[in-house]
Amino acid sequence: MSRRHLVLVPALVLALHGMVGQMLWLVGIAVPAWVLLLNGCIVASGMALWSRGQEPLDTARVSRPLIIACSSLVAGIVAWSAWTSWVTPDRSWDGLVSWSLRAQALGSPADLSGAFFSQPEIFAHSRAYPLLQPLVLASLDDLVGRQLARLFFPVLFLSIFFLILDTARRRCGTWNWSLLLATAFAVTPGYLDVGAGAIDSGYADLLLAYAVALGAAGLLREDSRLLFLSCLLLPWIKPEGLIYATLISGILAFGIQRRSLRAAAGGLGLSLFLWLPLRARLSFSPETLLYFVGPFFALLLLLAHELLIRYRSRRARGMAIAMLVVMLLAASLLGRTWLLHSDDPLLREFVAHIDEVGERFFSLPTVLLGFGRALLEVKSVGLVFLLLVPSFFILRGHRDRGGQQLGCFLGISFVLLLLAILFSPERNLSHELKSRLSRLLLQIVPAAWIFITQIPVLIRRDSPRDELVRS
Amino acid sequence: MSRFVDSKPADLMLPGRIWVKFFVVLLCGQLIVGLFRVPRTLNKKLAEIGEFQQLGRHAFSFRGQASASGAIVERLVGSTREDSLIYWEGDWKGDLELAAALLFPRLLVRFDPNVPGRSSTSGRPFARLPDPAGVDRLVVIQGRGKSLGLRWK
Repeated sequence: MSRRHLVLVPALVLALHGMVGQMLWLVGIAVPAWVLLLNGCIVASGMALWSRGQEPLDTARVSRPLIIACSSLVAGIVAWSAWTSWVTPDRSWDGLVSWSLRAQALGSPADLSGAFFSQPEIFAHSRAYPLLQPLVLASLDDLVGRQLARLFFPVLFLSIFFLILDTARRRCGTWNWSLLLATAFAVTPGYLDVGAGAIDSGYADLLLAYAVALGAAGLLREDSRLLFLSCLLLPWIKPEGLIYATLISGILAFGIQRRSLRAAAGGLGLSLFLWLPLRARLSFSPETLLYFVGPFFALLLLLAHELLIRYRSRRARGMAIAMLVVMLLAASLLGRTWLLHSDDPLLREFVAHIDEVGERFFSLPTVLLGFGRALLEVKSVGLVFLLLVPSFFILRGHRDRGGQQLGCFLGISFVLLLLAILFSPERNLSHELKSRLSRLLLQIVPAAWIFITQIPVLIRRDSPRDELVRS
Repeated sequence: MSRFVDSKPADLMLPGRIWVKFFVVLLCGQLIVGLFRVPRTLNKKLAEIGEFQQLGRHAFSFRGQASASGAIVERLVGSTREDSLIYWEGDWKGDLELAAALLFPRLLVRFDPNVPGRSSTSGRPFARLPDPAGVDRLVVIQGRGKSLGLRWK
């Protein structure tokens, strides 16, 4: 099997299992654990057939000491994380109270008809949260037991490592640089530390980071398969996944690659088609109309793209952005009354808090300072965000469409994370900046490493400026 | 080659090499920082796992919180049926969230003083515990932010 396909396998298994699982739930059928096994077999055999005769893994031109050093280090990190995941049940707050609890509540076979999900009087504060991770954990729990099921997390981390390695190999052209970059990601302290965001914390942030990384690689490589998988998976993982998927599709709508946009919008449309009605059912709200929201949203994106292609002037783009902002504002104002009566306490609290938004602007300097500090927090995110500074200057004047799209994605993600902290329902801002922000930043660390993979090829040519002079 | 043709002439004046050097230094820095931090994180994690194994699941989850919360959950786990329902009241944020997870498969149902007390629902009995006077009564778990309490009904 070629390297390219190895990278796709985990994403395809997750996508297929999520799709089959949610379809079965929508028609009122429980999801037996063997469905995961079946999905794994389908993906593996499909990949084996597809990759027959294609380029195999090529490790001929790699420095042997480097490969030994990097692979032993990464193998050690993964083995250590596997042990710390396996040795005890969840030790972190959200891992226990939300993600692992819902995996247990799904039971065997994974079912939404149990009292926990179907009776509103039962206490379940994150009942209507996305269910992909709980579904996978519940299926694995049934197949191999609860402790071994937690090995899902180190496998996920390894998948991110291979995704970065593969993207770097395509961009850098050499295994040495690719290994160095992927290993530099693997030693990011936040993933290995204790608490929120760590590999073994049980939070869905690692799965979200994987799906965001798929989207980032898709943007950089203009790979429609990766974009489809990313936008399909993101809304099923965490509520903020929907925002990332919309951002990816939105950026592509402003580009000229119709194929990439179709893939991203198709993934997002299909994802919402399955998830929104299920979410409404879990919130005890009417679900019928919600089947149409996903496909309608996808069509809207394609239409916006066509209009932007036709009217390519700066003014038309400005008007499109203004219309988008107005639509979002109108939707949040109109939807507020409805959301205030939601059965989801977290959502209710967030919407009720919208009135205080004006007051929160006074906290902007504190939040900006805390945000800057978190970006440079070496013991959590390492030096990755600092590395973006020279990367930006090295890439300046170098017009690569994929790189520009990914740069745009990272830039807007920073702004969105800043806003998420600024308008968070949590009143204690310093707590938000200290504990929540570093976890949120870990979601986009792999995407930042994927952005950095553009640099080595320029360094190897001494510098783009020298190349230009020589040419 | 063609990718650089787009470069603006002004780029010729940029201190590209400085940024390249800065990039290489930072990348080495990331690897060094990571390598130095790995043993520290391993020690922290070993200490955490040791604490978990020493304190047990309930006490570990409530560490840093009111110590009574762990004891209340432990008592409920030890003396109620797994399929029972437990009444709760007060603030759901905080220790009550942890309690709900640790008490599973027991489920929590909001206590409503206006609704007449039930002894079971959907075939699941409501949890009963002996009150301080030793009388077996329906128990209500109280969420008080960073602590838990018990009340009898």
